[in-house]
Amino acid sequence: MNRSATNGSAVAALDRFADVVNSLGEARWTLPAREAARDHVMNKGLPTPRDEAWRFANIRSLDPNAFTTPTAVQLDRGRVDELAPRELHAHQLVFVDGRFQPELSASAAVLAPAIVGSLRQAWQDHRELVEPYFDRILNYHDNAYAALNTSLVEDGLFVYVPRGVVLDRPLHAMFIGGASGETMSLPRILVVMEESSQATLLEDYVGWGEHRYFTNAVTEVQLRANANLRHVRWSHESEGAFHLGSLACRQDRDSHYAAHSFAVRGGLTRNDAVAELAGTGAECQLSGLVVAGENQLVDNHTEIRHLVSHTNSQQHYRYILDGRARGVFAGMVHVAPDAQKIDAQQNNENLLLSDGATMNTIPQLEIYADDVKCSHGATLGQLDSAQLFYMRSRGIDEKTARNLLTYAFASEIMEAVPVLAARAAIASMVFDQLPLDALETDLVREGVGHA
Amino acid sequence: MTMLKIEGLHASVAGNEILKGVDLTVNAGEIHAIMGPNGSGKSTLAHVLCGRDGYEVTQGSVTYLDEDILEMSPEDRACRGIFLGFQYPVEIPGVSNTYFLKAALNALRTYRGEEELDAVDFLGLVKAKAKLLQLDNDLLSRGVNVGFSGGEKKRNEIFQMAVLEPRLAVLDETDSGLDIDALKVVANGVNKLRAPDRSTIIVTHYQRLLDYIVPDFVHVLQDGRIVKSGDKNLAHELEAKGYSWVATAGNS
Ligand SMILES: Nc1ncnc2c1ncn2[C@@H]1O[C@H](COP(=O)(O)OP(=O)(O)OP(=O)(O)O)[C@@H](O)[C@H]1O
Ligand SMILES: [Mg+2]
Repeated sequence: MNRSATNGSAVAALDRFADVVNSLGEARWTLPAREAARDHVMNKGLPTPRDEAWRFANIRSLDPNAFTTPTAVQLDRGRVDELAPRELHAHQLVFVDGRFQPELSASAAVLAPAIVGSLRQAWQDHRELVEPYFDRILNYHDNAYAALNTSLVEDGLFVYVPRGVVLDRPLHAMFIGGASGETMSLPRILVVMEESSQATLLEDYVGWGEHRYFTNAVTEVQLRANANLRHVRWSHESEGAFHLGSLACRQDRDSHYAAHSFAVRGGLTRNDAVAELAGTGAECQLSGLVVAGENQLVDNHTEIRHLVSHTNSQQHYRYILDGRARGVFAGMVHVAPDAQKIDAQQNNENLLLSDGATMNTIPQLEIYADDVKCSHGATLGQLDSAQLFYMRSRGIDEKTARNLLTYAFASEIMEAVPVLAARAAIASMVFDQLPLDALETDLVREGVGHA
Repeated sequence: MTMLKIEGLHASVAGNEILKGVDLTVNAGEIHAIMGPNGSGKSTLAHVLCGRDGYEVTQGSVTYLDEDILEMSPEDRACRGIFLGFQYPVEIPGVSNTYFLKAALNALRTYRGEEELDAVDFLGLVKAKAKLLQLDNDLLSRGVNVGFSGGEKKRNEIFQMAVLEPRLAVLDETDSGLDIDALKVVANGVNKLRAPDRSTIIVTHYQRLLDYIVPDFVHVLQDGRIVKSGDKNLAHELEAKGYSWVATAGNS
């Protein structure tokens, strides 16, 4: 009988649990966390469309049993470099199907005193730095896919930035998926930023071939007091690939977290982001751009938890949907009792380019304090006819005018990306996805946005 | 040579007939001023000439350089040399003024079979015209009209016109709200383009503009028709006596 995975016992991937555990060696201390996560998956099963949080995600088409375990493959360095954005001047860290590739990555020595490299290595060599955070930041209660990652994860990226250290260059973590067929990979990132440290992390998911693979990624971030992390995350998976990304960030006082997320290509994309503002003065900004067409589905769930007073958050998500694409934005803002003087803003603007495209926006506010400034807004629309006419009256043809306006809508989110070369790479992905043909090179070179 | 010939033009917006039989002939080299009370159809006429969606022509014809243009798209009309200076210029965040203008200029050049201007030549042209209109370089790199003052928006319209060099410019209240210094700058921009093979239609409420841009003809548009035409002295008369006088004295 070929049944899909609606309850835990049917999750074939868990058959590997014993093998994974046996290979842990000195990382065996992670076992209790893995067992608890495995039990969660077994007891609760994977989400179905009947689960509220997964209502729109059409995960019926995602059957984890249809994917195999990645096997080690050697990728050609030249082709890997071609996948990276030009002139990034970043410390490159390459993962193939979730496995760290030291020979394709920056050497650990260059990055000292920061510790940057394989998570598997860190489980063994830096248990004291990893144990307080691994599986302690992300709560997988209604996200069994994240639990599946925790139970079976074998490697990933570990970033530790000591107190007061400022990384000179961005870290570019490139996760290459689908390199060994129709596999499920389990990328895992743990970032620990000590007091007053500062870094920029570029998290880049890219497809190798045209396989229907499944990226099931988990990112945990801990920001100690006054730490500052700029985090750019983009997925440019192969067509028909599945991408689930679960992110959790816990912030101590006066820390600053800015995350920019871009979902530009792939079949089904679901990103969960949770930011926990646990110290006064902590601030977080989440922004996102979705460009989807055909039958693509992109679902962003965000949750900002204001646990204490004087914490601020801003969210700004834009979607451009064409064809029969479907977008979901579910943004939750939670303000704990007695968390006063909160400023929380949430904005979701959507552009529908076709009649077949649909958008679901679900803002949720849970506010248990009274001195709170909370705003949320959502707009849904087509291109502005007055703007179109203005451009056409100057000689710009209708198609180009439409494309320019569409690109302009996207550009505001892209302009916030801190690293220029990353911004250019993302812009060119957006171009590929929008039908901008003739103008393309011109626009990338000069930028349409404000100088 | 006849630049523009409008005959018996009727047009409706949202089912309401606004233009009720407009006749107007503009020869090459001429400047025509159109005046008239609020809501008389001046902007409607300008939009119909430029092909805006939602303005339905029910009767009559518009011929520009011997071609019927009513079936043409706005961009085709622009490529043939028609320019509209908007009464209310539109803001386009995310598209820089410079980029916008370059896309427009190159569209026109491509239509005319000319080569696209390269970055250096374009920049030189833009700098010169911006100076003519006393437009800050800072405004050029901003989004189109974004955060511009009312006066800056109007100057930006004439700046675009100066770069695009149309054969027929229709300027809809480009003088409204300008202080006298800005008015002189705008008038200077229009006069610089004056040539035997170009024509201009200026829609205005104020005779003052016509001291700086001297029209060959002045027309009064009232309730969707041109009810009186004359030379520049008509503008003085209108200023002194108002429009009700025209209605009673009507000559058409
Ligand atoms: N989109 C529209 N829908 C309905 N009526 C419209 C629309 N646009 C214009 N009108 C009407 O058409 C009439 C003429 O408007 P128009 O803007 O052409 O006047 P105008 O002469 O330019 O006035 P003003 O001097 O105030 O600029 C007005 O009664 C106006 O309300
Ligand atoms: Mg008007």
